[in-house]
Amino acid sequence: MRRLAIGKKISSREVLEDLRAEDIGLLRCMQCGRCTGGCPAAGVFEDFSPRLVMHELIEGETENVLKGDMIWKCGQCYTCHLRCPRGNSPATVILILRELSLKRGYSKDKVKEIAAKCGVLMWKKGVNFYEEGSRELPDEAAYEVEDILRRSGYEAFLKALGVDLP
Amino acid sequence: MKIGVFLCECGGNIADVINLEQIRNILESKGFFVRINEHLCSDQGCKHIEKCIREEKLERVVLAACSPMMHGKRFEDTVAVLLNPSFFEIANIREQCAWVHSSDEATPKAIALIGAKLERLKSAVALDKIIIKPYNEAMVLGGGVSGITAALSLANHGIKTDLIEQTGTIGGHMVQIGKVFSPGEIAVECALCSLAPLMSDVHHHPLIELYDRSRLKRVAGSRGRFEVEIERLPRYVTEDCLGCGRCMYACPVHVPDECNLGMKLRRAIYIPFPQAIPPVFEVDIEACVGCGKCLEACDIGAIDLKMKKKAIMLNVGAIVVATGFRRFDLGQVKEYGYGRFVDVVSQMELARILAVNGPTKGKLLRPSDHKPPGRIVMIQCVGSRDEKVGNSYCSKICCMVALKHAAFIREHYPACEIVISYTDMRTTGFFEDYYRHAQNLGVVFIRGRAAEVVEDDGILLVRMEDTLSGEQLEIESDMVVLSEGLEASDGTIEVAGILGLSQREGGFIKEEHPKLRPVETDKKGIYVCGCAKGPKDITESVLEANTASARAFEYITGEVTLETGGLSDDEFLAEIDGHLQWKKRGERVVLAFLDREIGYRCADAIGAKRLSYPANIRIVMVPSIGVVKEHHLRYALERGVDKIILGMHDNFDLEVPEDIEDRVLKYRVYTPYFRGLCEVFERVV
Amino acid sequence: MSECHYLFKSCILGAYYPEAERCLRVVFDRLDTQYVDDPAQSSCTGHGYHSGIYPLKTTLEVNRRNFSLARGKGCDDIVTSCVTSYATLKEMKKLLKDPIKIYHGLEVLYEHRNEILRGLKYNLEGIKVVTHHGCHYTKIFYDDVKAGDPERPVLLDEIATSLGGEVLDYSERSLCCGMGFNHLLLDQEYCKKIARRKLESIKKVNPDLILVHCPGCLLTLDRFQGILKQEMGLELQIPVLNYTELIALLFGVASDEIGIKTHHVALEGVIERIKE
Repeated sequence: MRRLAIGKKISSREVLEDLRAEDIGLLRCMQCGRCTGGCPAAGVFEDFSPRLVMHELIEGETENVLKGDMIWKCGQCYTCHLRCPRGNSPATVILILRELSLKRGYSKDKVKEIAAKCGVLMWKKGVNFYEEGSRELPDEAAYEVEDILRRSGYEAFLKALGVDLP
Repeated sequence: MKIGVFLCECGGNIADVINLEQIRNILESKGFFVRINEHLCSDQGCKHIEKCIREEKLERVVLAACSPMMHGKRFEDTVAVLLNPSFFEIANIREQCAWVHSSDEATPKAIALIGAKLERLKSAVALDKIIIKPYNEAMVLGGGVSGITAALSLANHGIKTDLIEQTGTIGGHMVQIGKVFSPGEIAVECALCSLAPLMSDVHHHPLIELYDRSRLKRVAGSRGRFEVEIERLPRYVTEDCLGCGRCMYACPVHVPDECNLGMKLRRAIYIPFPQAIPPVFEVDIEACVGCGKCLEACDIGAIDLKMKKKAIMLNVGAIVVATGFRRFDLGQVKEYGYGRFVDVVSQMELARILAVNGPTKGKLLRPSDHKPPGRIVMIQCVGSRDEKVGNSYCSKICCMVALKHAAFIREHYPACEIVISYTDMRTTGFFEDYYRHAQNLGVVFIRGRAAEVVEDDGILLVRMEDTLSGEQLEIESDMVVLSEGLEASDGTIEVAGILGLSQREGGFIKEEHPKLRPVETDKKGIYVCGCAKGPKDITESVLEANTASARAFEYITGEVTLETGGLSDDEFLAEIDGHLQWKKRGERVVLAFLDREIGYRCADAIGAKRLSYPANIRIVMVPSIGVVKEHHLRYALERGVDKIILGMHDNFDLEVPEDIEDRVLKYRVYTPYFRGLCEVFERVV
Repeated sequence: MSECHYLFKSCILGAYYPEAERCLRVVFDRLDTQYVDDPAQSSCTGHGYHSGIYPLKTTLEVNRRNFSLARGKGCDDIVTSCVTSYATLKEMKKLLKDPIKIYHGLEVLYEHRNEILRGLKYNLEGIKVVTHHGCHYTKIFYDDVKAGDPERPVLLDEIATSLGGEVLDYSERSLCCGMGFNHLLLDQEYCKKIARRKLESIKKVNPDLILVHCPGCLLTLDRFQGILKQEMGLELQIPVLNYTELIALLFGVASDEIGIKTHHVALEGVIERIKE
């Protein structure tokens, strides 16, 4: 039996503090399941349900969500965002949660490989994808981007993931 | 004698089951004038009937259609233009034929039903009607917001109105609620601010006579001429009282204050609350020790401890029942610990705690230690949607009550967390805005009905399943608020008994028709509104009260027609003969004599629910079961009726002689229990 | 829309379908639509952002630069060739409260759909088309969908119909293509299962081509046909064309120049039929 202690914040403050949560109806979620019902990822991964992610947040189990791998199963198609009858956006909330999860040092394995590829390319060439001879930024622009990435804390972000920059 | 028969298809309701063409052929071959119509009840249908009567010079008319309870009045009005109403009969081939029998049984039965009416009409004699004027006075029972509204509306229409209130003040529950919600806007208004002016209007209205501390004792007469006896208990303070309150300060007795649900104390001489109407003090004679200190304190000598109760006779044309609800007794649900844990309270108690004139002067403090709670858990549906306590219905307002309190607390005491354990959130219409509002304020909703409340180290633990995750939870809380359901008040149940009104689950008074006659009861001239009828909010209660008063006004200012006799012996016997005329060899005909108001409606309900029973059951409507006498029974049995069912009710009884006892079944009919009647129909055959 | 658009290039097209992006410029040139092709424009980070590898702050700062580049070139709108760029830029614009306007290239061509007809060398007569609108165009800023309902956008449909093609409906029309951002770059289970659902539903109506306007959808619907065949033996072979490639083709641009070599599912057959 899980005990909900008094004073342990129930609804998820951390998520609500994110800039992107400003005008979404996370608190108004009424657990109707319209998100999960039409979620492609929920059809692929039996244990994935955007409704349940929202549910955990409402009951203050944010830490569980951040540690778990639920949030990494979403395909970011935003069907839930389009349809939510309460103006909530599970896809946006999940994006916020992904960032929070990494910030707390969880889920590194979920992104390390991707960051090592796309993140490093962004750093070096200003693009997410690169094939031999394909578009990349001219040197001067690439330095500018690198500088912006650094100033935004991206170097540290990659470092925390264990991704080395050239 | 030229007799016309009109067969109604009822848009397929009848024609899909009964072969109307076949009936037409048979009846035409017997010399009757026959027409089939798609909808006799339509304007065209009625015009068609009138035209045929006129052009064909019909002298008697049988309509084979739906139950006379449906459109009987309309048909009667149509026919009455040209014929004496006694020369017109309805054969109920829908509720009591097409809807309860299979196709092959229904057609011959329909012929028999029509045949019986044709036979009856042959013996019919023209009857006159007596038209009476109802007493030009109305009575409203109950002085809550519904009763106040109804009384004011009637009086404003110029009807002298007696408002009967059992307590010492009008106002009802609304006064206690403190803050009330409204649809369409997120505003929590002060109940007394809206109600006090109306209460004052009642007090000053020249046409309203307020009988406080009064109860309905008995009623004689009916239909526009009700002779009502009420009993009025003494206040022990005369109307000279100035309301200064000196008596109260002098009184040495302290007893729990009902208005604050016992959370505050009052004196033995008191006024329930400052805005009470009548604005006169009263003495709680049970609590009074007779010390006489109040008598000394009252300069004007308004206190009279020797006052006696009075019986008062009132003649009224219509009665509006607005006797309201009582809150579910929370102690019945033992597992929530109400009464055992001081900090488990009801929503109404929370309302008093949040009220500025309540025990904590509006401060959110829990009862045990007068400390502000850090978390409140509200449990919904306590005494509602619970067969275990005998209330399967939804009390309709509790979701809103909880949201109102939850939102209010979150706004004024943001440090206090609110968790609502709910079965379903039912916030219909614009009330959904409150739900969203409360969610935005961070109220946490956990779906699942709390299973139990236990106390552990001074903390209340609400145990429940979170049915959305399937997880078992234990929610710590400083205070638990139970959302109590609504039941019919004792007054409602008592009044329903005295007036003989049908009731439904929870003791609420049943309307005559849930859609079309929602404030009419099954007794003419008696109307019902507000929570006496079923759980509802203030807005809806006011709507109903206005509707009920409009209907009562119509009734009082109109005319009441009393039919003389209605069923002569000759007609009755002829109808019996009629049923037997079409009896096939070896067929066993069972006649059911059912009265118009209860039994017949009950039989109709079997049809409306599409249950079925054997086709040899033939229902004969009688004005009241009292008209059925022994010789009728003997006549029927001798002529070949196999068995007779008597639908008993009211105070009528009939001694059935021993020799025919086994062929006459007395069954107590009860409108809501049509299944029982249906079973009897099955069993008897 | 402004006089001169700031053309916002896609990472996926740049790396995997460079000709498809070039086609947008070709079509713009033909239509006399002014644009700036700025080599200094960086990725919006979108694909990585939705995969979780860029914190919001990084994405905001990177695009603050892009917005200022556009303004520096005298453009007050940005036209993207990718729907994730479209949505990401729109989101960042909103959070930065930047006045710049964001459009998708398809919207520009949709506005010019009548002018397109004038320059046609070929048309789509006799060609059966299904369309797929990218989720990040229709579902994120759903109020801004230019034609049809977000659940049933019809920009591609109307263009295809005006070009003479027959547009077929299919049951999984609003389903994601299966790209799935992080999924595409990891184990691809999501991609395979969703792309399969999508493609099998398309296969049932047997179209001649799938018309898309999103680099990610193009990549997924095109390349996963090969993966599904290899791993599950699924025979699909439905050509997938980006709207820029299709219009360029109908304008008479040579097959090589629209980059048919970059496509996994052979386009020759359908191109031949179009040119017939």
